[in-house]
Amino acid sequence: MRTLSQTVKYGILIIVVGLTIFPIWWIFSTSLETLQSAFQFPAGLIPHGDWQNYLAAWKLAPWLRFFGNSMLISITTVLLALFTSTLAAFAFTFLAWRGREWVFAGVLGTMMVPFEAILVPDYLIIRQFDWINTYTAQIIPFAASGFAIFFLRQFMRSLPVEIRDAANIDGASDWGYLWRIVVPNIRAALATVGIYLFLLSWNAFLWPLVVTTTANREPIQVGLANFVQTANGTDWTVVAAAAGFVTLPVLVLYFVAQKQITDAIARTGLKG
Amino acid sequence: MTLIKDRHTLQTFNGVKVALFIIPALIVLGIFWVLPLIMGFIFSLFHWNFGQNPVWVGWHEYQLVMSSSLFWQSLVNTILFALGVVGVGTALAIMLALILYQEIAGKGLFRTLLFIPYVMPLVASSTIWLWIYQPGVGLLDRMLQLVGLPGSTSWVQNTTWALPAIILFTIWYSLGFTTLLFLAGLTTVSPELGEAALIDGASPWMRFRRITWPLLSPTTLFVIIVNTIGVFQSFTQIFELTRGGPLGATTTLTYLVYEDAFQYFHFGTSLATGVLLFIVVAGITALQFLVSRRAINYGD
Repeated sequence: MRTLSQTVKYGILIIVVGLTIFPIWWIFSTSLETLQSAFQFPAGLIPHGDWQNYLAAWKLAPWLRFFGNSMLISITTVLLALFTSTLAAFAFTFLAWRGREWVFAGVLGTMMVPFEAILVPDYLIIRQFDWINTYTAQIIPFAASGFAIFFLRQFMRSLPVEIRDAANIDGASDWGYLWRIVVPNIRAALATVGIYLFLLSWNAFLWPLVVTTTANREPIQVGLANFVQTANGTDWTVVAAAAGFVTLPVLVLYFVAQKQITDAIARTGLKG
Repeated sequence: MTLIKDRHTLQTFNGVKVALFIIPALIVLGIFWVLPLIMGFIFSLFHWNFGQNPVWVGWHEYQLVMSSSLFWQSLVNTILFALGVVGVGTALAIMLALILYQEIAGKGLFRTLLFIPYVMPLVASSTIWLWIYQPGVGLLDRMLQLVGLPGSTSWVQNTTWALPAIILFTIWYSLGFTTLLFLAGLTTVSPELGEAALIDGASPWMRFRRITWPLLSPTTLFVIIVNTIGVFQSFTQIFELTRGGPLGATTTLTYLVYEDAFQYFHFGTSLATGVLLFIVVAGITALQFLVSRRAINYGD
């Protein structure tokens, strides 16, 4: 009885996880096929070790530029958003001022706004600023985050009051208290929020699709989408190779920092 | 006198300091999140096509939206999409979480693999699935051919199958995420209760039904809400797999906002649809705030 239920459990796991992984395996094996062999089934499932498609795909679009754009946009966004959100969270936690609760409620309110609903007005604002097809348009709207402020404030509130009192006695300024005591003590929270913001920025698609017009400002996601559109139906093996090397860096990051990434996602309820 | 002056100086100083701390964040949130929301409400009362001057029309754009069959089709599609993803995805995820929460060999590996689709860029994974859904030669049709079915369906170009194809993709992509949330939720369920019930001779199904399920219900509610919001905001997979087609069969509210503004340049109706989308999602999010307070307790 015990072994039977054990078998059923493993059966379910292997089927579900197998079905989850199979498409990914298939795309990597497709990317290593020639166009003829890719259409043979199931023989096409065993990769041939043919790297031609990767070379072909690599030559067809400015991938390095796309990667560079994405890195620049994501890293700048994360650093700016962490900075502005830490400052704001500090003011909402440690400084007493009139209207604090109301402003904080307003910040929480921004978390209820789906970006898709304000897509068009935001586009009009960006156009008014003359920011169409710039990095700025892809960075500045996300250079602060209601969620990050909320999340960091939760952590700051949990710091023991004694630390604050000791800092007061030592005569530390608010600024010094923030950087020398608060920030080092919320490093874990900053890392969690940082990963959350990075994945959000790296995987962003709708906004960059709308505000970019040329390849030299497009992030990798828009670059890949345009590549698929132009190559669609012509050569799946090359498209598979492109999808493969867009995915690979994220997979490497995932295997290196798996615990931090799953933790960030579980804690933040991140949903693309 | 000096005391009052000092207090005043201190307050001014405080005000400037507070401002320095909060203004960077408030400028960004104000200009790119609050202002567009207000603009959305106001501008949706104008008739406004690309390159034309806005004309005040009151509720006319809303009437246009409400009388368009594509809007209602999109609303129905969005709801079916949410029901499909949340219904099937939640059931699968609970089952997987219950198995993976136990002490079984290799569970770390299973968890790692299960989560991979979720960290992949959506454009890349949608592209993979576009190939899977190709009629005749795609993976799905090949598998159906293996079991003796015709296997020549144009999954994403067919009004019957396009929405289920999007739903299947979304379940595949979010299953690891949903399972992770349930695994976090399970840490709040005390194992002693299950052991006590085991001693009392309760069957596994009874233990699940009477102990785990009720204790897990706050997590379930949270998962349902988070995934529903996720579905309402989905764009990438629809853009990549179907472009909202065929004949609007996979157009959701979010896709309609995009298509109206950036394919047809009907800013007025797009803004009105955006306002309606905001009201629906904000309502669901408000619900999330109410339940998440007590729902989530992430142990390690």
